[in-house]
Amino acid sequence: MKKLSFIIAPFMALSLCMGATAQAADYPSKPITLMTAFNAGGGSDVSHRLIEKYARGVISQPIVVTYKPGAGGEVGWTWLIGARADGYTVGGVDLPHIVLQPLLRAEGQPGYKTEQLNPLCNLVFDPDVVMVRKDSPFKSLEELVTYAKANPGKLKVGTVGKFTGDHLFLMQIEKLTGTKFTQVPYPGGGKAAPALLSGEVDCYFGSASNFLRMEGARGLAIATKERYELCPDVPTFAEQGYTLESAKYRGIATPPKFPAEAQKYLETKLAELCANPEYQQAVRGAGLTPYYTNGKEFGEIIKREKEKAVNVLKTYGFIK
Amino acid sequence: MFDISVVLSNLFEPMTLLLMALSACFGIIMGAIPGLSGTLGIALLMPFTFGLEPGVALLMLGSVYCGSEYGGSIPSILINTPGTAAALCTTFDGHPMAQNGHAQKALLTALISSVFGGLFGVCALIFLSIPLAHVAMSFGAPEQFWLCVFALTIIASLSSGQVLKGIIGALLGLLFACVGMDPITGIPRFTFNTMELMNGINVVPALIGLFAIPQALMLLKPAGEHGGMAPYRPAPGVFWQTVKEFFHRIWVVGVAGVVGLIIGIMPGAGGNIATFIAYNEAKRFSRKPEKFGTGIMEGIMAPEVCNNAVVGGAQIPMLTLGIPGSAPAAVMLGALMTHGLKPGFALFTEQSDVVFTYFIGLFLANIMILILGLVLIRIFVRVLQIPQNFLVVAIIAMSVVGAYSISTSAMDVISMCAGGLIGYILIRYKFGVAPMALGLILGGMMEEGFKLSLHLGAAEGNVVMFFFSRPQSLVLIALTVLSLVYSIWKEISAARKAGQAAA
Repeated sequence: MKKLSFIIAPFMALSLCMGATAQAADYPSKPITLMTAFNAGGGSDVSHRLIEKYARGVISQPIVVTYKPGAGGEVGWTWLIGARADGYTVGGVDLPHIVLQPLLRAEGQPGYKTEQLNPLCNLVFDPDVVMVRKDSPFKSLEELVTYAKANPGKLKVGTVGKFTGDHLFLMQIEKLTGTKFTQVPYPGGGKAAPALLSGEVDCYFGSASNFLRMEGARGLAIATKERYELCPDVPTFAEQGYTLESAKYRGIATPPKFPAEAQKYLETKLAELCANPEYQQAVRGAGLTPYYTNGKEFGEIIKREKEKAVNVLKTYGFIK
Repeated sequence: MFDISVVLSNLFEPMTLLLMALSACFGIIMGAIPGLSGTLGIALLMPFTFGLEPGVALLMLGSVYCGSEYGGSIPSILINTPGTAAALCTTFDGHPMAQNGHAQKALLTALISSVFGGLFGVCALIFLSIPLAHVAMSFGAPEQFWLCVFALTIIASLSSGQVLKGIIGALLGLLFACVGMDPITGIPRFTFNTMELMNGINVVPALIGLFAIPQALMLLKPAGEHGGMAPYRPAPGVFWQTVKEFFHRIWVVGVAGVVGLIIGIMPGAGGNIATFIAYNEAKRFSRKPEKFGTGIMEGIMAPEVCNNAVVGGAQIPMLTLGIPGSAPAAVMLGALMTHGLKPGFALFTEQSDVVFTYFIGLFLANIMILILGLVLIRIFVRVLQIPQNFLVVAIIAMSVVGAYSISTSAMDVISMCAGGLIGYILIRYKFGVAPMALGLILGGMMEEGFKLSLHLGAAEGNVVMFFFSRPQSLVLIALTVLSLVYSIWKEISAARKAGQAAA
């Protein structure tokens, strides 16, 4: 019977809210749409599904995940800034994606601006890792750097695309170590991971979440301050003599002119949700680290990441 | 190993069985509605599984996946519109068979083939997961490109006698597939500075347009002309007759099953491409290839066995390596992780009860689909009793709703309408829509494989060598050449025969 009630509850919730109208006093009075700017099955999807799952009992209305995938998130985020600001549509946003895309967009091409996305809260944190195959001759970052210095451009590095967080990570490593790699931009982690494992590329500079779900890869260096809880045997850059911190952040943003009351409500409730140890355990199980910050702090992270990105892109001459 | 009694007691709980049957039924319906797909079905059902045990939850989603692959064949047969992209090839013989008055037999063939294909895939999943996992690793970017080239040679057999028109159609498809952001560099092409075209032309609505709209327009013609349907007459005993004929052609299951399995394992290829290859291989192995396309059982069996075998194949790298073999498998991967299961070889030992509950449950799900299908066919076949003028309106309405519901985007509806217009022109001037559909499906994957290979080859120092030296690539190149030589030889001998007959 318990099982059945789990099946029926969402339907009841859906049917109850159909007739309700949005009024500030009884917010929320209908389900809240959480837009995912990527395909079902990706890292964003998993973290949003966990919010959907654990929102029950915390937020009085269900959270409903909907997908607006395309162009590395650009389609979804442009949709989000045009969404109705009635308090019932929010969207997942990823860093550094939302700072890189507007910076590098072709002239005349329409799209959102970073500032149009209203930060609501950050949810998870996913640091960047230098990965090689388990049987690779490179046993440490130093060996990789020495080889890359002697043979510029010879090592092939998989990333999840040009001008993505992985690419930014690659550029930072090149700048820091004075090396040159050849980037092979795959259209996603689902393609970059097998390319690493089959030896098509020599290394993969990507997210720890992809590293953690892959068998047969070795982490040479992780761009966190301290050793990372989820893979403590991977040494940090700092331990190997380089100062580098680089990560992806996944949070939630709201469209412009979103009602302040709704913003406040969701911020408080999501803080409560993110404090649930069961939720945190589930997030870690998916290879991510729960990292709740409120909207203000998330806004600061966005600002900080933007400064960093502008800095790196300028060095490489991608922007003026 | 796992504890069989635990697995069986998990599985034979009435509630589990009921949930599976409902999910399978939901999957069949999602598959049968053009535009809605298994991927969407799994994503929609996922929140309803959060409170359940992981094994049961996965089974529900797996049942949707299996059901949707079967469901796609139903509109392919009845209204010549593929319910899912993977059921596209089922239209080639399924619809002609229905037009000849054997709709029931066509639907039953699709059902039995789906179930056999599904069981084939699940067997591979149970017994060969760990050895076959590494097959996924042996396909790299150049192989992805060469596989698409090989698939393009199918145009010759899709448009026999009209090869030039076939090539034009396929090139049109490839051209349309170029719209949108470059898959590697992200530079927008033919987007006219609009956000809507950034992601390219969505293949599924375009396919709905290509197939459904011309079909609806054809139905407007007076009965008896091309496109008309023979009246539906229920035939008693047709099930056993179909089963008997199915077993006479059991070799198709072997050919199409292996094709589905291998292409399913390849990351990202999926059933859309696999079915074309399976159809073509069945035709090549057949002793009467000229009958393909006229409404024969082999032509329905090949794609239907294949797209259900993909279900098993695509989950092999997903479960063992965390790399999905198809779009629905990618959503399944998300579900797996949401339920706290980590893919990997360890899953098979540490969580063996969950994994084997799932595997044996999938076996059962396929049997359920057989039973559900037998009931549902009686309902679906009534479509043929609807007067044609109502049917035309219903097809067009369904196409619009289906196209819109994929991602609630008006752009998809426009793509669908444009596809419909182009499809009608193509059919009117005897180009056929299949080559263009093939071009559209292959375009993105082919370009991605090509560009990545260019990058990789440049890093190696020799691009040409990189394309032509890898052993896996050489196998695909050899297959392509053989396929071309075979088609040309067949065309020449057919022309000679025709010449002799005329003289």
